[in-house]
Amino acid sequence: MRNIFHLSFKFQFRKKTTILNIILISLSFLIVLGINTYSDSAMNYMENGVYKSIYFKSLEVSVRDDEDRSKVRKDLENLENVSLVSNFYSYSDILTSKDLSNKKLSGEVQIHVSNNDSLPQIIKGTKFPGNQENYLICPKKLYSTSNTDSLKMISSNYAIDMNQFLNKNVTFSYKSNMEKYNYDISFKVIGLYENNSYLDANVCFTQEKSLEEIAKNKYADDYDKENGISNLDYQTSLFVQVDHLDNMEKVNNQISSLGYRSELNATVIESYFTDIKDTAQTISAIVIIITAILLLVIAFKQYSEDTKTYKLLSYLGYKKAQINKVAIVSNMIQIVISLFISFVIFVIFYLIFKLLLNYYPYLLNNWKVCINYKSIIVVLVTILLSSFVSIVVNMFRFNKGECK
Amino acid sequence: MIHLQNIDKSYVKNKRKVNVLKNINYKFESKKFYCIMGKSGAGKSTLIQMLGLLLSPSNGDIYLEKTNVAGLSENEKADIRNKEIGFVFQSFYLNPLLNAYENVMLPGYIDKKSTLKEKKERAFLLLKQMGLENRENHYPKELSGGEQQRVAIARALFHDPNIILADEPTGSLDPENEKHILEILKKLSRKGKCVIVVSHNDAVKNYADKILYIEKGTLKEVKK
Repeated sequence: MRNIFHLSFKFQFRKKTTILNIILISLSFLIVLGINTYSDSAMNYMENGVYKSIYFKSLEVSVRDDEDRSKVRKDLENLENVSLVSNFYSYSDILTSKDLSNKKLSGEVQIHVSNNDSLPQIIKGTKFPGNQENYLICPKKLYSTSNTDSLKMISSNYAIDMNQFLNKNVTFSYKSNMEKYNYDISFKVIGLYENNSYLDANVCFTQEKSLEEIAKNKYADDYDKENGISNLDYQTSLFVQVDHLDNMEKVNNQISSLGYRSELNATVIESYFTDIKDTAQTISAIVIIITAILLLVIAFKQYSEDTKTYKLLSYLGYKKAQINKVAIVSNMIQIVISLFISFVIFVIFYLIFKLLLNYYPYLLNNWKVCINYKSIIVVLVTILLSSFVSIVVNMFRFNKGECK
Repeated sequence: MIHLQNIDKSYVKNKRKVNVLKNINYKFESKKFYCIMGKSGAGKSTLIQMLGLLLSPSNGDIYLEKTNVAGLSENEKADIRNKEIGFVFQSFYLNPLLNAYENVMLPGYIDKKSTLKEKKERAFLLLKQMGLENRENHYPKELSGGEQQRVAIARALFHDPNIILADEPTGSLDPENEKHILEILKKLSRKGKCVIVVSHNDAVKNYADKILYIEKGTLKEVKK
């Protein structure tokens, strides 16, 4: 077998078509793997970023002075697929906590409004048990900074492990130029959610009531005790959180039909992602079919040259099984080399891409690169199948013709 | 050496049976140079392919020494071709992807008895004997016709076979190279090989110990 391998190696490496086949296989491998990896990365961003982010599932409904704010709120709460209606989307004051800071993280945390229906999945601790205290639900790994480079740090080890704060109080401070507005506030961390690189990694959730209390205390001097209204009531908007991204349009239409004016926080062009997937699959199918056809055409064109070799081997006393081995081993050598070259090129591209993302995280919205392993198998099976077919057909033609 | 007994060979062509060889009886012996002549289509190539165990007779037996090889399996025939028979062709039939040394080595790749070192030494020795000691790394296209044919003879001799079958070995050569090749084949017959050459070329007759003619499917020995 070693000698047959040795001989096949010599035959294969000196054939003119070998380089052509290697380029063809490598190219198709890289195109299919590359395009499907891009598509998978986009879908991963969609599923783990867009679908899970409350930012994409929020609507802002403007309330006019002549409208009854509490009626509008009730109307919105009664709508289907609405999980939360609140005065706040997030709390506007910048709150920082010494407990949640380290040499890289300033301790700054964004506090968003949520309820038990709109919370992300809790992986440790509990949801809101009531509203007796200021409860806080935080990401498992908190990147407490507003620095835009924070995304870069997601790959590093600076994140604060919130496990250590579970069921403990954390104090936040607000500091402004006007001393009378400065205050401290404590929250009890009761639950943790799984965050990923797409979701805002410095977002904690609390209940609307807690934020209202903070605001009331902060604006205590401006609070109209006689009329019992706070500055909060003069806010011009209400914020609606929808249960699922797919229902955004439906809720938006319902709000319009009630005569209210709503605006999407951010628009996701979902079709962009589905188009990527469809395009990737179509291109992959075309590339695979073309590769298979070209491999067969090249193999059949090579037939007369190969036949001369097989005939000669037959004259020299090679048995059919030995000739078949030469044909199969030659093909396998070509495939293994093509895949090795493709693998090396892909790894180089992958590493360059990873390095770029590390330094420029906003390239591709900090998408995670998800290698599509299925396409490796599909290309491999296609190449093996077309090689196998070409070997079988050529050997059949050769054996049928004998060496007469 | 090789004994043909009552050999018939026929083909079916366009639904018609064509009898190429009829009742051939002949005994080829070692240490002899045979020249088989005949018109185109007379059946010379068919006969040499049967002698080389590449074709089976329609009827009759082929004895190699005392073994009837006509009924052997394809694998057994392949083994005999590898060890007992050396082929030389008009178009040299060297593999263009292999250099001279590798072409000579070609029958040896399936030989499990000798070591790679022994096989290499054998190939270099044969090339040296053919006067090609400095041409071992040359590819066929880098060699002259005569040199290519000498590489082909070296390859035919790799396993030191008893029978050399040559189909028009001088057909593509100039007179000088033709003479050189025929002298080599003659020498081989003197060293004990049974050399059977199929040719149109009258010059071959001068080197032959026996001259055979194929006419109308029958084989006849003629006097020199």
